[in-house]
Amino acid sequence: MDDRLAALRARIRALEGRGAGLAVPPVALGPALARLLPEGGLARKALHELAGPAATLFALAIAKAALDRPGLLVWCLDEAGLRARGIPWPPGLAARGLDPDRLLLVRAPDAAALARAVEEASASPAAAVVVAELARADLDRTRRLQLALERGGGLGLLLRPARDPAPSAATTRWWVAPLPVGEGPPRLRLELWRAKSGVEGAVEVRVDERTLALHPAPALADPAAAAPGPAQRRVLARG
Amino acid sequence: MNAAAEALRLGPGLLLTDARAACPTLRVLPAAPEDDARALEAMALWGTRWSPRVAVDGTDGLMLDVLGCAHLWGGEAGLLATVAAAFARLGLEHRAALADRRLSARIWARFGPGGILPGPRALDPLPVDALGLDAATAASLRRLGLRTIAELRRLPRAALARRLGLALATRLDLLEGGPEGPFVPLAEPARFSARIAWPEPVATHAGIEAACAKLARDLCRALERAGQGARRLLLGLHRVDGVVARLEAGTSRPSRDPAHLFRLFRHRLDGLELGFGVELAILEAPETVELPAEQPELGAAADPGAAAVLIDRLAARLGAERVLRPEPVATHVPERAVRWCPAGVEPKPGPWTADPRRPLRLFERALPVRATALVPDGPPLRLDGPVAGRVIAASGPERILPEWWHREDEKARPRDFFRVRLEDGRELWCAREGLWGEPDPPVWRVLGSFA
Repeated sequence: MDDRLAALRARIRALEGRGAGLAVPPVALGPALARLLPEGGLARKALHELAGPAATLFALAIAKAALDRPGLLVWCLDEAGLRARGIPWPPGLAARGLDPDRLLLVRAPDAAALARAVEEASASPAAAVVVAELARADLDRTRRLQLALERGGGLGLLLRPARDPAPSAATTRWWVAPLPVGEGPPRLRLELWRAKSGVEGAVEVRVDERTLALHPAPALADPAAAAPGPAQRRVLARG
Repeated sequence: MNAAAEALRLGPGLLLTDARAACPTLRVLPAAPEDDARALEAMALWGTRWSPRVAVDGTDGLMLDVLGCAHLWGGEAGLLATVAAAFARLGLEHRAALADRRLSARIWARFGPGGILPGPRALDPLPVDALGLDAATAASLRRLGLRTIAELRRLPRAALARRLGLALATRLDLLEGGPEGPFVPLAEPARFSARIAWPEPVATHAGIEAACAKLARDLCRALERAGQGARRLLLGLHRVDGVVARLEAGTSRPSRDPAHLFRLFRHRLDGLELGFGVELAILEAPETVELPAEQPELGAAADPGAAAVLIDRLAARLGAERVLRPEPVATHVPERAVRWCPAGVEPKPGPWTADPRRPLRLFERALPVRATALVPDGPPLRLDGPVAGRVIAASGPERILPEWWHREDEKARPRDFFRVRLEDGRELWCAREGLWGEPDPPVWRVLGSFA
């Protein structure tokens, strides 16, 4: 059944002209996201949209996985984004296993210059990952980025401050929120709310702060969805 | 002074009222010597069409070194005619002179009739003022009744030098073959350049773009023959109205790839004002370095060459100061821990210290907040201000002391850093500045975020 589905999906992709994306292996994000990413990871040569208060952390986790190939991590933002969210900080990146020597920071004066710079970076074979902090990205803009990424071959991450219901050419669209856990490593709720593969849903992950690896975490907000521990099972049995 | 002014006998030193009497419709503007100098320098750029070596002469003249250039314009007479036609087209009154010696040419243009100096003796009837002497020497010459250059020449040079100063004698020597100082042009011509001149001006961007692509190809061919790669490029577009638009671009690695060099300029051509058209385009490589011939790389992904191309294109678009790579700085003060260098310069690689307490993003300006803590030295329980919320987890403190040997740290206070997690899950890096017991109470700031 799964094989037939995969074969059908491959045929659809070929018809859509997106077969090129499959030639390169996707960015593997581990078993935690396997349910949401049937192809085994995030497609390279494609644009992915991340929004929400913890988008930077998820973007870096993806970038870390995608930088297993040579190439630069090109981070593009404009002055407004810099003021609102701060600069990606090399000491913090280095502490999480990302090599700051591979970071290229593009600091555009305004949104228009930023959009052009992002497109330039996306079309370059030198960029393994392009992070673009574009406040506005309509269908036309995202389509252009998608085409540029297909030329360049890198992975595009569109960082948005808010969830934008407007249509987009992004292959996947995520909402990334941190979970208020008391102690321990940060936990994220990753909601894939739009995907070209058709699979949608949400998972909760624990982020390893030294490697940026994503581990499956039992859901906290909804105890019923969590794997029932021995104590709980006993209660259920009694009830 | 133009011919119209001369006809009305207007001139320097005239009182404004007298000038108004002679010409009631006179428009008066205050003198702006700096603007004049700038305009003259622009004219000098415009003059590079005839010779690459052009200098500004005084406040109202240009000096061209035309050695080896004149034959391109049909000899010296042809060159002068071309210059005259160009000035006439701009509606500028001028007098051009051409001579073996710089001072002779200067005098012939300013005090003589202009044109090619027939011989050194032609200067004889001109007044001594033409030599450009200081006021004291000029006054003594007047007292002695010496009016023309011929009269000076007749006197024995040694006596002249003794009585009236060495400067005068040197000036006279200059006319007759004494050593001239070096000619200092506004810009030394580049060793590698390519040019296109059009008989009819080109006023479309498509035309200019095509020309630039051709210039890049020509330049790269010359670079290839010499085994050089360009580090810096200068594109000069000479407009019909005398304005020279100059675009500059740098490369992070020496290059002689015509497509790459052309792209450094292409998007900047779009916004360029072409006026009535461009008649001459010159592409120069003022800075080149050795670049041995190599096999062109085929389909190489993520090679250093591709990175250099990307960096150059972004730098050409945004400016080199906006395309940056980080360099670690050995300091504990977070604001100084990273130096952002233009990416074209090879950055000093690592070592980066991997301290897991450091945040992912650092705010450009720390946000002042109010904090509530259980004990004065303890972590905050709640933050209020631009970021607000109950703190559900905190780690710290990590004390970072100011570096007193830095000027900006003179008034800085010790800081205790905490990583706090708010009730909505956000994680922030905040610091308490100052210690309890000091005259000023401590203040809290949020410096960065972990997501």
